[in-house]
Amino acid sequence: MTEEITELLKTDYEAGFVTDVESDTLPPGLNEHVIRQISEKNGEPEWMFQWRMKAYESWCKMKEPRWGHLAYPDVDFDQVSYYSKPKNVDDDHSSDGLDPELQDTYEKLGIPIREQGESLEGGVAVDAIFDSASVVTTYRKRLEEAGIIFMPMSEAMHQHADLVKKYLGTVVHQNDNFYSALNSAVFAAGTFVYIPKGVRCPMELSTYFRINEKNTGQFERTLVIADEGSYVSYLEGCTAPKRDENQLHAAVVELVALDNAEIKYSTVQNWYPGDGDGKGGIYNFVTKRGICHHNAKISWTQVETGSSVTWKYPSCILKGDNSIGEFYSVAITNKWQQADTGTKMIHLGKNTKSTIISKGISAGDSQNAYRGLVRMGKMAEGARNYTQCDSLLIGDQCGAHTFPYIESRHPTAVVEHEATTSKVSDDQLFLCQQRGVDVEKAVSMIVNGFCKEVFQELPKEFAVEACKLLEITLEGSVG
Amino acid sequence: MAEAVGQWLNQVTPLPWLQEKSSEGAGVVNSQPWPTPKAEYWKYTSLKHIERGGFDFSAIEQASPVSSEAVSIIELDTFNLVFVDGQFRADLSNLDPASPELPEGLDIIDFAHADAGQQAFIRDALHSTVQEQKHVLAHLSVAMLSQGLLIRVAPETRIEKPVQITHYTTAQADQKGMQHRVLVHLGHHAELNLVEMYGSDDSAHTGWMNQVTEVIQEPESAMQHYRLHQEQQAMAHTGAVHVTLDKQARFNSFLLGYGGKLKRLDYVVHHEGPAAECNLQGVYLVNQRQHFDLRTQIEHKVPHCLTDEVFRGIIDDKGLAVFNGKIHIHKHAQKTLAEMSNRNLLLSENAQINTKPELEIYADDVKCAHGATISQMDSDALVYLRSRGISAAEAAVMLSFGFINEILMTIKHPEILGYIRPSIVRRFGQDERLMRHLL
Repeated sequence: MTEEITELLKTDYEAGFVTDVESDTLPPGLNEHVIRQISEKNGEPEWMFQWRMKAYESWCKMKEPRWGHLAYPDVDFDQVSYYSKPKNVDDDHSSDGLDPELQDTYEKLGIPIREQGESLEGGVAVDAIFDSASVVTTYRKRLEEAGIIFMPMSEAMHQHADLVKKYLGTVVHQNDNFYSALNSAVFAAGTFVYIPKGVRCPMELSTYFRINEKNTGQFERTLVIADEGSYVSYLEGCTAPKRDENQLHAAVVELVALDNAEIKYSTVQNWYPGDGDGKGGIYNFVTKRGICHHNAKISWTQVETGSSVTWKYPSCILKGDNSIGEFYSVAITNKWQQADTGTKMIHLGKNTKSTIISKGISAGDSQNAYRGLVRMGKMAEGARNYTQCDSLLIGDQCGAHTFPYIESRHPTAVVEHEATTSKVSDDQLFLCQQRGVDVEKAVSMIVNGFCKEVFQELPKEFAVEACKLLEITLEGSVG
Repeated sequence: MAEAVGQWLNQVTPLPWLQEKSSEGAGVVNSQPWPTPKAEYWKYTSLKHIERGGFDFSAIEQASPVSSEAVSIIELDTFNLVFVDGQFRADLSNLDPASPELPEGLDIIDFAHADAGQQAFIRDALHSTVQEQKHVLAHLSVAMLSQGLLIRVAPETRIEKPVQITHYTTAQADQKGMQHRVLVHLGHHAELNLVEMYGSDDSAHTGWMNQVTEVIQEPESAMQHYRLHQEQQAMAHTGAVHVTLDKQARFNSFLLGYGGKLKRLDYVVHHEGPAAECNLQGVYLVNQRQHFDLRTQIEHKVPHCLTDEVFRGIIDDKGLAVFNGKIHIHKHAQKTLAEMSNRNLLLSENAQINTKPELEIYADDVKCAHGATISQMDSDALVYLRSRGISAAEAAVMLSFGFINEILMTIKHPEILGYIRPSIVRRFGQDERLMRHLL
């Protein structure tokens, strides 16, 4: 049986093509001069440069974190180019003036870079980021009419300097960790979102990340601020070309949910995972964190299918009383992929609640680890956490690991943690086959059932994509 | 390495024929930095207390008077070896490990009196179960090894009468460092009951005990093990139980842990033969300003093995408890069944619990599960009891005792249950009225 499953897992990475565009790329290496250049190319104010330098100084003193359950050769940070922007990109970020090569790229990837229809309701606005630059931002003007700010970070620094200054780096500090410091020093693209008081954003906002240029890394920074009583659903997707060398992606996402606000943040991560021999693929070192004020809610949903190395812990700081944090994750590793991912729920306020549902699927020669922290602070009266992490193993060469840290300092806080490990059993497959379902379909059904609780949390369009992606990622792993 | 380590090493004279092992151990200790909470393996426990405590490992000159009741489990007939403040006490023991009279097939010998054959065995087997560098204090223990016990059960021999090793401390143990090793070897199809008991009188003396017990089980052997930590709270204890299990060997252990100034216990079990079985149960009770850190590490290296771990803890006042359970299933350990459960009751605003149930799995055809909970007393149950006229204080005692009683009921020897139950009850109920339902 396992052999058939393994055979099914050998599929190709569909987004692995390269777009042939001219770009303006900085030579590899990182120093003060490079940071100055990035800052100048973005036309940034001086305070921003100083902010970057502060991050760079702390980064120089920091050590690369190696505590993850990951094995990869040291990253040579002097071999990475920290900035690459395609030429021929309009300053107004409209899709009309876009280089046809880039238009083609997004069409192939199925990303809607043209505004469709009059109504905002139910639509998706896209900020398309290509290497270090935002190339198209749709629905921007019309959202602005509703008071919603949705624009590339580099512009927000000028047009909404007060907001950026007030919130940037407050959730993930410049020196929070090695990769957040690196990101703070060199970030170029990224999206800035502000939802005003009491506004429910009528459409899904999204950012699509594409790495294209050789030897570059992508370092974007996303800042989402939901003002009191507002609501926003934000999506994030990504792909990269197939290459034999590893490329670096070190992003930072900061979410601020003010009193009574709600942010729903969904990610479908589909970076290039490397080939069947473990060659190439993206190193994904990401810091994502949100802070919840009174009665606020942040919900992270992630479907992780790509990257050769994933190091990512989307977290919630539940600062305000009655705030809610949620984390729904499906992490699939196949071939030689390695993932060390999970979440942190820091309960500070009273009656704060958090739910963690993590589903790890390992196939091929991959390693998949859940690492999580649930901390009930001294003031977390009546706080509640429920954690469930399940692992599914497909094949006998892979690994599934669970490292949950649970710390409680309040007697009325209740924490529950459960974890199980299982495999796609022969009984289940036999039952399906008996009823005329072939092995591939059967495995896909079983795996889909295993992930159902998480997929339910995804916005509809994303859920469909996630199911498809799951099938593709697992193709060839069954047998 | 801490400066203190050098001083400790100077205070003891290791047994000459174990010199090589001792130097190796010292080498391992010196080759790494002294553990701090920055190291993952010591994350919630600081060793500053023993590093700065100025502990003196030299022998005690005057023996303290101790009653024989204090060092025995009254209703249980055992081969009892009693050590008071780290020194062997023939007057309290019912066995002389220099020339013991024992049933056929059982060997109990003090390392210092081992004959050539036994010395060769010890040289070969001692410290073989400590397989990782990170067990710094176990390596320290072999580096300082001046006394130890060898317990051997011959193949096909069943020893019904338990062997008991009792360590008791008195005011003499103030600022004393004590160390002890136990090496147990069970032959093919052999069976043994072993009780390790740690107690002290009520005076608040500050000593430090660093103890390692090694158990090597041949195929189909079975061991029932008890480790009872009842020392008073100013004592520091760093202990470890390292076990290797061959084919179809069974290791059952029950732990009773009272908190203290610094209490740390590592259980490390290696499943090295197929179909071996390991059952660990226990309760830890931590109150006042006490600390208790329990680590379990189960290495499944071969197929068809079984692990079942159940630990419950009650933390009150300003107590701090740590549980870190790790189950590691190696690549070829298919058909493993492993379960771990850790439940904690947090009773006070200043009490703290850190728990980390870990799974590391490299084989696909396994069934593993773990669960951990932290909560306070069930308010529905409290209301139920109070509505039947039971006072709040009494209801609280009943419920928290009920929480651990389930585990106590699994104890195989009723005499041991009969011995520890009153001691636990005394810890719960401050006055007679509260205890009446429990005894």
